[in-house]
Amino acid sequence: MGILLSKVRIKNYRSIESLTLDLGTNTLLIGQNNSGKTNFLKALNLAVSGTSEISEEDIFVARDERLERKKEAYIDIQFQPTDENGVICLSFSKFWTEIFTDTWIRTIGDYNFVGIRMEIKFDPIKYSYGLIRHCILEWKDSFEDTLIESKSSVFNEDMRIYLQCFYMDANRDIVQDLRNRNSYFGRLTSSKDLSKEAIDEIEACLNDANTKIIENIPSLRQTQISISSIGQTIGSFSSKVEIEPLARKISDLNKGMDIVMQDGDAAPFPVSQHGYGTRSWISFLSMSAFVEMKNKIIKEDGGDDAEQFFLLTMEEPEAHLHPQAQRRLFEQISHFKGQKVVSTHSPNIVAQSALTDIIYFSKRGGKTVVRSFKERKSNDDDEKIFREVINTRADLLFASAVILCEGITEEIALSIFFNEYFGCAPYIYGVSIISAGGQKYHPYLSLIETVGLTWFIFSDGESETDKTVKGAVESVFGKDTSELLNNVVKLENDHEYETYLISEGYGDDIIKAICDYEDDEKFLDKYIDLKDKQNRSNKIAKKLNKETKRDYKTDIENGRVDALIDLCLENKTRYAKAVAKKIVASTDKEKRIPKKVAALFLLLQKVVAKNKQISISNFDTDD
Amino acid sequence: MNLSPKQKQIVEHIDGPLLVKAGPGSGKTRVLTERVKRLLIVNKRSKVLALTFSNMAAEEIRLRLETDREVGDAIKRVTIGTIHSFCLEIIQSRGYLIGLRPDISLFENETDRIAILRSVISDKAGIEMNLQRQGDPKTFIARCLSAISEFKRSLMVPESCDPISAIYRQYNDALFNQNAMDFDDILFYAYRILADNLNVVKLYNSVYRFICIDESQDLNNAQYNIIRILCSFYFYNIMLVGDENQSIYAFNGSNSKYMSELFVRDFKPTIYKLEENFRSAKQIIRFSNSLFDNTDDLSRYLYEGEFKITAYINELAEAQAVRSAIENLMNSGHKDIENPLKYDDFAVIARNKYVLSQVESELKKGGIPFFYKNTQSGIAYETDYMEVFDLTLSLIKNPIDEFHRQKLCKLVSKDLSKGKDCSNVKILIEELLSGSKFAWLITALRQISSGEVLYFDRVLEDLKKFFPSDLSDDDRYLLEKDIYEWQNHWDKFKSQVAREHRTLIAFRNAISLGNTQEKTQTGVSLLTGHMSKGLEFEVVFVIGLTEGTFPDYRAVIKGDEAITQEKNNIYVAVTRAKRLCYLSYPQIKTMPWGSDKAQKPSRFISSQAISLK
Repeated sequence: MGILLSKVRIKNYRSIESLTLDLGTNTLLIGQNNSGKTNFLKALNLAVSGTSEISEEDIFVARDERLERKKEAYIDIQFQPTDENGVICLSFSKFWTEIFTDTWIRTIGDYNFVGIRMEIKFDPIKYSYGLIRHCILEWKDSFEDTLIESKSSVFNEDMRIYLQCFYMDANRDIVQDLRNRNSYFGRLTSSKDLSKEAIDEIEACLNDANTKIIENIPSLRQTQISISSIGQTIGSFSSKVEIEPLARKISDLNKGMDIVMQDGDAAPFPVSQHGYGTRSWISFLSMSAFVEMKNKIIKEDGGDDAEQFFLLTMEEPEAHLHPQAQRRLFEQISHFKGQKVVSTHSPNIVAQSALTDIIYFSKRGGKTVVRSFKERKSNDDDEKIFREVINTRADLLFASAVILCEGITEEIALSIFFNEYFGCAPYIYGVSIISAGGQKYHPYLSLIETVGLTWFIFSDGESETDKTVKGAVESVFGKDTSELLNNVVKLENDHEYETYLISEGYGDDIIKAICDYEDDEKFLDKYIDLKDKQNRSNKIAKKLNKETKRDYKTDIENGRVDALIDLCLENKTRYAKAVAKKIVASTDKEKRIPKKVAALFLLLQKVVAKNKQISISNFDTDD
Repeated sequence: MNLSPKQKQIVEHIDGPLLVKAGPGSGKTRVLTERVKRLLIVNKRSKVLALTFSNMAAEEIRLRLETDREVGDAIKRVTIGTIHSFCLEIIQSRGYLIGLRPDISLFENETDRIAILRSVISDKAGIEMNLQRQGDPKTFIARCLSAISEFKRSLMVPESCDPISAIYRQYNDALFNQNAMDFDDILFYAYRILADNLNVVKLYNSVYRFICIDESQDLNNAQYNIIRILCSFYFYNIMLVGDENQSIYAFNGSNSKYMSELFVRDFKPTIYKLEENFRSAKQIIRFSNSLFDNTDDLSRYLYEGEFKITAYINELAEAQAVRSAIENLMNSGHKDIENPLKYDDFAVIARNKYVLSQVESELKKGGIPFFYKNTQSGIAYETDYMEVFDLTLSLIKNPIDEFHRQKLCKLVSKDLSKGKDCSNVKILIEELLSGSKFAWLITALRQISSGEVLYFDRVLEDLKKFFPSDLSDDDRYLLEKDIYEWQNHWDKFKSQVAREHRTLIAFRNAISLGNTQEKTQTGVSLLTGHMSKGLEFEVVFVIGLTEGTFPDYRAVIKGDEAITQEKNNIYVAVTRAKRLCYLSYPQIKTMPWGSDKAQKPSRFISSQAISLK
């Protein structure tokens, strides 16, 4: 039985003008740099721990707005009780009821909640910005309708002890923690749980060791003697100077404490000699250990019911870590008992997370905008594909615009054409080119719609495909999609990509490319000889609307074309790169990019042009 | 000082409900405090609710706990107050659950209630009441109000209250529409909030695991039911402390049966009796025991004390005797009183304040300082300036307070409709006051905004600064006294409430509930029996003990219950005395219309030895 910080609402805090979110036990934040993720984490920390330096910089101002003293920022959070499985339930456990008491616990119908509003406002008496908390009486959907208690309230002592929040930033480093007595490591290792006898015994040993060391190292002894003469300089004859190679008191032990790691067969090294990846990981683990220790103490002290609420807000757990290490670390994070809000740039980490835990941050017009995956409209089949997308093409979630195409062939070719057309690789502009094709248009579009990306479809000309595409678009975006269908560039005349190229007159380029690739300038002829009069696969025959039996020789010219087409379709991806590269290398500039592809890029150009002006931020879209 | 064995028994009572029948001077405040302390220490988390009868009692217990080292931080887990203040808190923090706004106004003045009811009867359609037919309108209205109070105390909604259900409902609507309520509503609304929201009750049950109620003989129906509902879900540690023989508030709906019968029936508590009177001397106890046929062993009482009943020829003689007694005692002291006497150690108690008028003039003549004990709550002012000031405060904290807006319009001689539906209260007030003799109040009033922290010192400064210079000496004196009154209330309030919680509403409500009453009045106390509750004095005079006055003639007519109340009244009066208690009555009384009437001694003293003077 515990509690969950289930809802957050922020107004006017830093880059966040207005934001409402539901949180679960685990939440993952993704989005471009500067989109406001750190601000969100800071807001959570502020609301729970209430200790921070506040200044006018923490109040949101729009671009041409001047900050007025009376403008205030608000952070509303709601705690709800959960059962043993972390599912929200109706009433707080006895323990939590006694912690919050009737001062903070309110009811909506049958269920209990604790709602806290944190106000950041200017206090004329203190002449600075300050924090004030109010109890929320009725939590309504809108900020203005929510009823708060007019008098301010403070957290009672218990709340301050049992509600904990920790912000772990990307720069965590155990080496720094070692030096800092207030870090989790420092606090863990400075607790004096020894009995007096044990302390006396150990300190006696330390004293002994110190004395032995100094006696036996002449230079140390001499140094101690010379330094002792300081007593004469400062006029004090009773002062004693000693060099302490080892800490003499148990309470000082953590001063020189180090962690030593032995990696397999290597010699043991202090952790400062290890890489940042290890160091940041160990920092996380020390925090985890501290929380576990505290939980144990709390249970011993307060009974089985007693527990601590711990909110871990963490940035970029993947920092300095190899992809596999990232996954393992994330697993450890998942096992961590507490509520987690983690922001990440790593597709590996996103791949391990449930889709409903992901929140997508972006910035539009200088303001933070969020989208949650919780209320997606989808079905079971879609879920499977979502899983697949997240597992394999999680970079989709980090893109600014997406071009969906039929298959890998198109994916490869379009990338090369993109480079030719725009002068750089697609990812530079945040464009992802992804093969969806057939059944996957719907789930991809659904995912894209949730995230709010700009999208384009490059599809082949088959009437079946046409129907599928239109159906998917309508299903995801609603009935009125005529505008959106402008984003679909379609090959005509039932063409496939390969047949389209040939029809555009790239046949010779294709043949040349294939022969170069196979290192045999007679490769096509050999193929014709080999395969003539044999059967094609039914699938290809159906696609081309031809007989199953090949006939290349009856009509030499057309037969050659047929053979080329068959060759391409049978080896779709094999030649894609070579063919595309050949095309963009044409001596005739006009022919370097097939017309339909050029049309697609022209469409993209409007969006890309906007993006080029703003170097880091997201596309501005019209929704 | 250690607890007596009996007191200890109560404090160490293990879980379960208990009823403590504690007579006067038995140390019940001490027992109550010790028990609260024990509950706080023994249980690390739960909150304790301690409800008393008066603010003074609440403050005393709080002070004792605050200064006790063993309690320390645990003091934060105890809520001490009167039942009314506890209920008001429920309304302010959870009133929204039944549609009440948190800034709801309290109409505490009886005159306000009368005026509202009057307007309801004459203005509201649908009430076919011919005022004439009901006899004297004033008494009719008073009877209606009293009936409405009783209905509210009985937790009855208007629909079930024939024959005045329409009036009752309209009266309630009139209050509700202006976001206001009267005193009886405090209990009624609190009850409704709890009754309609079992979740809230569950919450209170699980948070407040211990409840202690003082002066339980004065519980009324509403209060008892609220207590019961607070105990709905869990086995309870609830303690009721009281003395049936001190039940003197029946006229207000209180009844000792809640304590001695219903509580026993509903909770099956362990019953303890604290009968030792540690306060009073032997002679006094002998008499007080005789009122209830107690045969207590008197040998353990240390001090002999003095108890005398004297008949005087008339009220003047009686008063003169009181005066000389006081003078003598002040000069020569008494063998049974260790410390030198001060005027504060004397009290003169009578059935009502008219009986005290002769004593008052005698004390004045003798130059003996005295005072009438304050009314328990509210703020009293003499000047119309301050009345206007208070009305504007009502408006600021509740802009839709129609009733007071109209009152204000009348006082400043402006049209009644002025400012109705005005969106900005400040502008409204300036419009109403400017051009009148009250205009000088505007600067001070500008400082006040509803809902924000109140800096009343500045307001008072502005009042003193812009004090009109053209007043007569008498008016000036009264106005200064009035402002001084406000200052006292504010100072008291500041000592009770932290700066960030000092809003206008909190301040004004604290005044209404009597939290800010000043206690520092010196001199001989002139009191009625009701006002003397909970107090003690070295020397007490109880005067005017004639049949018809004490007991009151109306009680004589009613008989039974009413007579018991009168007996309790005397019991309370007499048991205020620690060492010396002098009862007296005049054999002849001069009536207001001039003629003299012979008086019989009160039945409560007629069986005692009476000396004649």
